[in-house]
Amino acid sequence: MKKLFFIIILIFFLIFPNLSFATQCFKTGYTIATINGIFTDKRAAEDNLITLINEFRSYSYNNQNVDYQYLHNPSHYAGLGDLLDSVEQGLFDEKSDYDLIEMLNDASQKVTTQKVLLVAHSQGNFYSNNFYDMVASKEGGVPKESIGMYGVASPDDHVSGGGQYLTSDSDRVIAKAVGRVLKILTPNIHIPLTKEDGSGHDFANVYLKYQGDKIISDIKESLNKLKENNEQEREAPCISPPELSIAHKIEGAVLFVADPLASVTKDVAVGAAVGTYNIGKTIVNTTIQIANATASSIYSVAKSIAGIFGGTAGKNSAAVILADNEPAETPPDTKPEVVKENPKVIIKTTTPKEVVMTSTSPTDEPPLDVAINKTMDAVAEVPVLPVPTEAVLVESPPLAQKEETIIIETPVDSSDIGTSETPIRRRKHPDIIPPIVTLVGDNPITIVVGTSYTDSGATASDDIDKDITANIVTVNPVDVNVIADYTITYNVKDKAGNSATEVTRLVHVVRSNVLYSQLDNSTEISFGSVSSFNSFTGASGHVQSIKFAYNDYGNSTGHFVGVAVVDRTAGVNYYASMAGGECGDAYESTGVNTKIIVELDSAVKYKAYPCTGPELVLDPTHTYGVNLFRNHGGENTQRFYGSSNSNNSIYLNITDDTFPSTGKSVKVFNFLNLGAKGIVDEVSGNIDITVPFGTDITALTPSIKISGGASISPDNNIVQNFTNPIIYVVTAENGLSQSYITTVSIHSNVLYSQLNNSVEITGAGNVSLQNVFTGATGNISNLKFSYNDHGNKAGHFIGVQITDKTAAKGYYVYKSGFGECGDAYQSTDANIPVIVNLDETYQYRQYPCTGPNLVLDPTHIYNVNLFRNQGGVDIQRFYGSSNISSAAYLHIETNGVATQSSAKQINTFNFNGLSPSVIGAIDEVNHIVSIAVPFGTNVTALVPTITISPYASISPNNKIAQDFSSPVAYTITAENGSTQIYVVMVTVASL
Amino acid sequence: MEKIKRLFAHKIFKVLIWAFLILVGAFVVLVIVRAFYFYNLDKTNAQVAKIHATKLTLDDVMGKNLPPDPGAEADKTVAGIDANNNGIRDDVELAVFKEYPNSAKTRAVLLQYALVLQMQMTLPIVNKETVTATVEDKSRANLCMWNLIDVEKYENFVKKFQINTEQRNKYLDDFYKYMGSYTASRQGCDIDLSTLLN
Repeated sequence: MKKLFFIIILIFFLIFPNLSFATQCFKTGYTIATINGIFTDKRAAEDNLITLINEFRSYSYNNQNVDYQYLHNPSHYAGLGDLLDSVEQGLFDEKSDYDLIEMLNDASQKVTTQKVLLVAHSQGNFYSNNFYDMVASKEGGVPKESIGMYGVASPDDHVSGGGQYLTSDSDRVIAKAVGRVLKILTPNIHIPLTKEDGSGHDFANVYLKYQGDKIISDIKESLNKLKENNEQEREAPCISPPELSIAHKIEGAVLFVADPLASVTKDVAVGAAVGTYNIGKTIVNTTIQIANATASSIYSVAKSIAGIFGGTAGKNSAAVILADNEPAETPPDTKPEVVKENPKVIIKTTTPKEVVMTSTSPTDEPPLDVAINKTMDAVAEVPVLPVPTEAVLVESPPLAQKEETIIIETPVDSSDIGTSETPIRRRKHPDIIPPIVTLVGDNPITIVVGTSYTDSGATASDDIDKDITANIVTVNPVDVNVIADYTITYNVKDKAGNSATEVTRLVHVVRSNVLYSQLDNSTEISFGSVSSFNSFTGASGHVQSIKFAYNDYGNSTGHFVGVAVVDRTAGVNYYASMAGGECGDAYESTGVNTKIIVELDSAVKYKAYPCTGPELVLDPTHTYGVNLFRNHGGENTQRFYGSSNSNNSIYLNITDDTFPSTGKSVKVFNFLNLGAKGIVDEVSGNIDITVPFGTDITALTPSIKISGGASISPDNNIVQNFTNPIIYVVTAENGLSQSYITTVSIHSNVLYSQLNNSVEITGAGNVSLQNVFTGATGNISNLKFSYNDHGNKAGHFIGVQITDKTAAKGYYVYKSGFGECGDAYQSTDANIPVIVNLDETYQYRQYPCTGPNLVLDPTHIYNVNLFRNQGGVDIQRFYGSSNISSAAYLHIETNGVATQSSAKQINTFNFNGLSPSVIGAIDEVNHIVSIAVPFGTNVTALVPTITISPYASISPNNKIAQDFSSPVAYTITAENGSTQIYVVMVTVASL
Repeated sequence: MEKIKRLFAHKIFKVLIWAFLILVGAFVVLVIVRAFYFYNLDKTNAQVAKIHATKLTLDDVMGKNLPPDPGAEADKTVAGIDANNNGIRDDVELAVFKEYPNSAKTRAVLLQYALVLQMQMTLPIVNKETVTATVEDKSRANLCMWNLIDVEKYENFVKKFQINTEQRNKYLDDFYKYMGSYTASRQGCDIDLSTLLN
C-alpha cells in the first residue's frame, strides 16, 4: 500500500509542474497586465507590451512603482483551439476555460501589487472580463476597488468593472466582422488607415501607433481609480492560486502533447486536432458537469441539513476564487460568501449569450458598410457613409451609450473570425518602419569654384521593399560657378508611404586654394636647383601642400631634397622642415631611377633658417616664389621634372589652407621601436602592421602621422593593447571623420621559406644558397629541406651548414651523440623525395662542433649550404620542390626574432585568364620566367597571376595587365628591402 | 458467467478497453516526458541564472576586445561568429562601433540590446523558463534604450544587423513559441552611462 502511495505521489509530481506563488502583496504600486488576443503570436505579444511600455515611458506613476506584465494567452492546436474558444466565449459567454485558469495561475505568481489593471486586446478581452469576474471581490482575489480593466479592440459587449475601452470603427476585425455576429461595444474612435495597416486591428502597430496618447491617458485615468485596500495581506499572494482540478490537468496533458503536434503538422492535422479538441473538451466538460451536479446535490443536502440545524448555510461557502457555479447575473459588487477552509477554482459551464438575430431573408441583409455605419454613428467624427434606400437601420444610440444591438440575418459562423482571409493575426513585420537613406561619399564636401561636381548620391533600403535607391528624390541646388554653401537633400518613401528621415549633404563651393600649379611643363630641368620666381601673391594662411616631380637617377639614398618658400618681398627664405629632421630636409631621396611625385603635406612646416622660429604666415601683399634643390651630399645630380610621361602629373603645385581641410588620412602608422611599418588602405579603412615574432602586443605605442589639421582618437603615442583590432578615428578639420581598423599581426618566426619551387637542383653533392636571411636573433630552431637519395645505399650523411656571411664563419649542424660534426642526418637509401626536419634538438656549431650553439646576429647576413658529407661517388639531389603539396625545399625558423624576411622569389607565374590557363616555367638561377601562350593569343594586355615569397612585394602589381610583346621585368622586394628582378618572356606558339 | 463472457465480447466493451489502453499509453508517455523535464530542471535553473547574470562589460563598450571582421562566415549560421566570446555577434559589434565610434553611451545601449538578442539566438537550452528569462532581459535592454531619444530608431538599427537573414527571423519565430508570462524588468543599463565621458 505504501508502495502504491509512493508511486502515485511520484507520478503526480512527474506529471504536473511545480507551482510557485508571489509571496508578497504591496499596497503601493501598480501592475499593468496585458492579455493578448487570438492568433497573436508570442513575438508580437512581446512587441505589444514593449510598445505599451515605451508609450508609457515610465516605471512609476503617482510616485508609485509600475510593474508591466504579460499574461500569456496560449494558442492551441495551431490556433484552431483559440478559434473555438472565441466562438464559445462570444456566443455562449463561456466564463472559464483552460487558458483562463493558466492566466490566473500566472497572475498568482507574478502580481505583487494590490492595484492591478488588466489591459486586454481583441479576444484577450473575453479572458480579461472573465478574469475580472473571477477575481474581483472574490475570496482570494482582489477587491474590486483595486482591480480595473481597459479594453482595446474588444469583441465583447462590456468591460468588466465599468472600465474604459477603445475600438476603432475602421477595425475590420472587430467593427466590421465580429460586430456583424456579436453584440460588441460601440466603436468610439476612428483611426484612418493606410494600406500597410492591414486590418486596422493590431494593438502595437495600429492602436498604439495612432492612438498611443489616448490609450496612455485612458490607462492613467484607470490607474487613478484604483484604490489600496486592507483586505489583501502583505505576506500573501495578491491573487490566490487557482486549484487545478483533475479535469484541468487532463486538458493540460492533452494540450501538452497535442499543441506541438498540431503546430508541426498544422496543415495535415487540422481536422484531427479539432476533433481531438472537441472530444477532449466534451469529455472534460461532461466530467465537470457530472461532478458539479454531484457536488451540487451533496451541497444542497448539506445546506438543507445545516439549515435545519442552524439556518446558517450559504454564509461561508465561497472559495478562493468562488468554488462553484456562481450565477451569471450576480452583480459585480455583491460580495460572495466564503469558506476559507476549502478554496478552489470555479469552473463555469457555458450559458448561451444573447445574440439578436432576425429571420430576414439574405437578400434583405444591409450591406456590411451600412451595418457598420450604424455603429459608427455613435462616433462624432465619423463621416456618414451613403446608405442604400432599401436598407433598414436600427436607430443609432446616443454617443454615451455603450452597447448596441446589430441585427443580422445570418447564423453565426465561426469562419467569420480568424480565418486566413480575416487577418486577426498580427503581421510579423507590418511595414511601419520607414526606409533608411544612406549617403554615399563624403559629407560635407568642399569643391573649388568652376570645377565640376558629380554628386555621389545616396542609397535607400527598406525592411520590406529592400533596395529602393531608384526611388530617391534628390534636390540638388549646387551651382559650381557660384561660391556658396549648398545643401543637397535626399528622401524616399517606401510602398507603404513611410517617408525616410531626410538626409542632407553640405557642399561648400569655395575659391581655389591652389596658389601655383604648373602641369605638363614640357621642359625637363636637369640641374641641382630650381627656382620658381614670383609664383604667387595675394595669399593668406599657411602653405598647406607642395607637390613636385623629381628623379634621383639611381643615386644612392640619403640625399635630401630641399624645398623653400621664398618671400621675395621681405627677402626671407622659409625652409620646409619636419619634426625630427634638419632645417630644409623634408624629403629624403629614394635612390630609384624613376620619376617620383613628392607631396609635402600640411605636416611639413615652412620656417626661416634654422627653423626654430614660427611657421610662415602668408602675407597677401607679398610675392612668393619656390626653390627646389638638393640639400647636401655627394656629387650626384637630382632632376626636377617639368613634365612627365604621365598625363596631368605635376611639376609644381602649391596650396594654402584658407578653408578647412578635408584630409582625414592616416599617412603613417609605425611602431618605431620595432621597426614595423603599417600598411594603410585608405579605401577599406584597414591598417595592417606586422611586428616581430615574440613581440608583446598588449602594450605597444604607435607613431601615427595623419592629414594636416586633422585629429585622431585614440591619441597618437598612447600605449594600446593590440591583441584585438583597435579602431582609430581620424577627424578632418572640416569635421568629417574616417575610421581605421588597425590589426596587428605577429610575424612568424620563419627566417626563410621557399615552397613549391619548381626547379630541381641537381648538384654534385652541394647546394649553396646565398643571402638567405638577415635581421634575426636567437637560435635556429627548425630547418627543413627536401632531398632525394636516388636509391643510393643508406649511410650517406647529408650535411647542413649555416654560414655567417658577414663574419665569414661556418656553422655545421650538430646533434649530441649523432655522429661527427656536420653529420646530423643519415640518408635513407630511398629513391623518393624526403622531407628532412631538423628540429630544436639540433644545433649549429663551428667545426669541430665543440663550441656553443650559433646565436644569430641581427646585423649579419647568413647563407645556407646543403651537401653530402661523405661516402662513395653517389649523387644526392636537393629538391627545389617535391611532389608533396606545400612541402618545403628550404624552411628555416628561429626561436628568437625574425624581423625581416629576405625571401623574394616568384613561386608561380600563370595566365589564368587564358583557357586553358598557362603556367610559366621559373628559372631560379637566371631569374627568368618563360611562358608560352597558344597561337593567336593577344599578348599586349595579358593579366598574370603571380605568387611570391611571404612578406615580399612585387612591382608591377600582381593581376595587372601588361604588354608582354616585349620582356617585362618584375621586381620582387623582400621584407628586408632587398630586391630581385625577374624577367618574364612570353612566346606565342606557332600554328 | 455466460452473461459476463458475453459482456466482455460485446463491441462496446472492446472499444472501452481500447480507449482505456490508449489513455494508459498516453499516461505513460506523459510520465516519461515529465521525468525528462525534472531531469533537465537543474540545468534549466542554472541556465536561467546565467541568462540573468549575463551583462555587458565596460571593456565591451570601450572596444578593448574588438573581434576581427568575420566576413561571410557571419551569416552562415543563426549564431554567427563571436570570436571574442563576449556574447555579441562580431559583425553586429563591429557595425555598432563603426556607426558610433565617438559615443560610448550609444554603444553601451546598443550593445546591451545586441547582447540579449544574440543570447536568444545561442541559448543552449530552449524551454519556457529560459526563453522567458531572455525576454525579461530584453525588457531590461529596452529600458536602457530610453537613454536614447528615438528608441525605435536605435532598436531597428540593432535589429537590422542582428536579425538580418530569413534563417534568423524564422529561428526567433520558433524561439518565441516557448515564451510564458513575464514581468518586464525594472533594471536598465548594465553599464552606468553616467560614468562614460561621451
